[in-house]
Amino acid sequence: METPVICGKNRIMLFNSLQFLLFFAIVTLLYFEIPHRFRWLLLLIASCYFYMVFVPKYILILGFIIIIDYTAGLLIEKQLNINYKKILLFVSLFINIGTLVLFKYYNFFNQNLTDLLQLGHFANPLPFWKIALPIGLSFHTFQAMSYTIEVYRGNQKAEKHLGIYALYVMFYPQLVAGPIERPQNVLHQFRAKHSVDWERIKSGLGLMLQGFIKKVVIADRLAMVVDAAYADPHGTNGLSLAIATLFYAFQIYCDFSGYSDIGIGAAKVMGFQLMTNFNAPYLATSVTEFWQKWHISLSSWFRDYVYIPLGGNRVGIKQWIFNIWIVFIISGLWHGAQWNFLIWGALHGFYLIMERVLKKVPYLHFIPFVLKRIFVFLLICTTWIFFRAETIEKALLILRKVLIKISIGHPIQSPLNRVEMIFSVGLIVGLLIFEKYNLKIAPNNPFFGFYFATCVLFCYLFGIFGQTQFIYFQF
Amino acid sequence: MKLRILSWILIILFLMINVISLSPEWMEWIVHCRTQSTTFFPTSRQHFGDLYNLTHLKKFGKKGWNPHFEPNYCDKPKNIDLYTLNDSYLQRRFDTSAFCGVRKLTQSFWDGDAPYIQLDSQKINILIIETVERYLRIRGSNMGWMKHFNFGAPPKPTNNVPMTEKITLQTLKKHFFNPHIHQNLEFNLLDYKTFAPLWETRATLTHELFNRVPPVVTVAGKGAYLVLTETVDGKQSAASNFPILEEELQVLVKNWNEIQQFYLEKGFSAVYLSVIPNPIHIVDLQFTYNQLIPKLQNHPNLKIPVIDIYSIFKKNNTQVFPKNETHWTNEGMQLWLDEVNRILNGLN
Repeated sequence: METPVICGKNRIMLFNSLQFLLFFAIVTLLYFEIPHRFRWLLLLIASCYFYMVFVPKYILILGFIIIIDYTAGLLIEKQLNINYKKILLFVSLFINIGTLVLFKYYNFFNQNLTDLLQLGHFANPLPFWKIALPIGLSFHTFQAMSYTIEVYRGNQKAEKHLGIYALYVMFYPQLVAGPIERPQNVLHQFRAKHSVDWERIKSGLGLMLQGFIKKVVIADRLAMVVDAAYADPHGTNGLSLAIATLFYAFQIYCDFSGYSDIGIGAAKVMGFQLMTNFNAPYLATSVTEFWQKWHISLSSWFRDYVYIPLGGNRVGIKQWIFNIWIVFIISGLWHGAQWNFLIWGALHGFYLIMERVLKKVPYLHFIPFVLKRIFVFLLICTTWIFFRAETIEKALLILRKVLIKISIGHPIQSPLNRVEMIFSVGLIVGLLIFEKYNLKIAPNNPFFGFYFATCVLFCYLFGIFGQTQFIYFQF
Repeated sequence: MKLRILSWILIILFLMINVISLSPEWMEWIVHCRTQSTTFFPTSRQHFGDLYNLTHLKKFGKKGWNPHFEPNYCDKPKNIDLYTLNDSYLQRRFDTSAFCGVRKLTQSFWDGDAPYIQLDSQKINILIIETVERYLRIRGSNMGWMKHFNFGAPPKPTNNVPMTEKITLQTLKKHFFNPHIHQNLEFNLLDYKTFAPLWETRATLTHELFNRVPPVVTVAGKGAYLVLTETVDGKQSAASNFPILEEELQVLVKNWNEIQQFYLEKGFSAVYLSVIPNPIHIVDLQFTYNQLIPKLQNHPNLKIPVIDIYSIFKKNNTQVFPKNETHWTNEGMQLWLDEVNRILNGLN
């Protein structure tokens, strides 16, 4: 082993890293110490730095989007002619979506074009673009688009202060993996004067700690089982793949909701209230309910800006089915430029359609809640197979092994020993009970300090600290 | 008011830690101080070895190696210029006087920048290519590794404006976005001997309950040694139990011969290969070793002379590697040095 290295390639400032903890401490302490009029500037500089740790020059892309949408917002508000407003909105959305397409989907479309042309023995003249996807691009472009749409709709006044608007897009707690905020909820908060409120600070720190536990104790532990099984589906038996898939459902949940908790908690410490992103999704008794509880900021974005403009559910059944499919296919593609994600979205769309059809079947509502929850959870798990597998072929192989070739007699193939497997299941059960009965201790409770210290100790003793990335960073 | 003062003290303290951890120059100084001194907040790695530092298993928290190596100095007429292409095993561990008859020692680190060298034709120019066994195959299969010395005078620095601007931007980037900030912060905030009980409790709990240590390390040799997993995991080519086929061996022999030829043509009087064995098959006699080193150094077609440390280590197997460190003990290092000096004495 070498002594600590001095220089090398770029990395991300992960929430579960010492670098972030130090960064957060410095920014938060400074935030409360400097005069109110400079706070926006501090947060903006901190957010720029947070983003630039990945690839410094990518800040230019973000800057470009910010200037476009800031200008579009002002022009849309000034413009009285509805047609001109529409054109301005269209230009803004086109540039946002164009940037996203260019960085995220260009190679995907190009690959499919190549495959298509090869069928006719033609060569594709378009080159492939070797470039790293700017971190969190899908999140901040969607947040930027919601601003121009809301200004267009008249629900939000255009922001005159470029710095405040830039902060709306770049606010570091939610910059790279959401929650995807709305301007009505956040913009005014950057002007508000937040003072030191110990109850709020304790509550925010508690939420951050909850996120750390979800990430380093649960998600990263389950990831070891999932990664081993999904890396070699051919050599892994059906039972082990089934367990890995169940574990993945909780891994991705704890990973992503853990990130959200840390982000929301960090913002809360400074006095900002960000929207809730998850609300015990695996306790849902229907797929519809699941989508009201999972990645709420994204699903509500699609509801408000795609589903409802398409007519929502106030249309004929055929149009409604089309709307649902469109929304979920786009949602799938939002996650990544792969057919796997598209199938994942399409499956969710299919479930929702089936749910509406089955609503008319009598006696279904007599099924106990527990059974409904388990059934919905298993349906969701099936979709996660496509989400996690590297290719469609592998996903189908896993599906076949899990559904057809499974046997209870199979030995469980896992890099974790029996004790840790049982411990992992215990963590999942504990999480579900915690969420079901909302076992949080309020910051004004006299036992809060003890509870917090116990959680820190638990996180320290059982956490896996290996600088693992958050899954949703890739989107 | 007290709270504000405390707040500003914390801000200044945290900023200082951050600035130091971001600065390559400061880190170099801090690393140097903390690894050299026994009074200036010594690192736990310095006391107990780097593999201990990765696992923090209490049973390996014993003094395993001494960074202060005092070689047996050699007083001979100095007629040799010695060049080494080496790993961390040799990096900054010797000075010229440790080698018999050596006037000048020039080291090139495998992972570092290639130094500019000008061979003195009046002297005996010797090159020792030292590699750890775990990289022997990869280094012997990639001829690009040959570019480890730049022959000739170093280029003169240019003073035009664009270059200065470029350097300024790069310097800024290096100081603000140091990608090794995580390791540096860990080193500055956590790597203290005082904290050892804290890390050991956690590590023991994980090991006893879950039978797990960090994936890069394996407890081997019937629980007596810590070794790098890549050296014992039979699925990885760096492992000492990863099978080696005759065809691959022939390619290695051919490539190492070509590497020797390349440097001989550049003007070296002799080129030696020195392979530092993976500790596992030295310390664990029951280990199923793929015999990579003996197969290579005894291959009839191999022309590059080998400094045979493998056989010497086999005879002294309990002394040459610590139980908690990837590198060798001072005894192991001295054995290597003795063997090199024996060869150098023959040349002088």
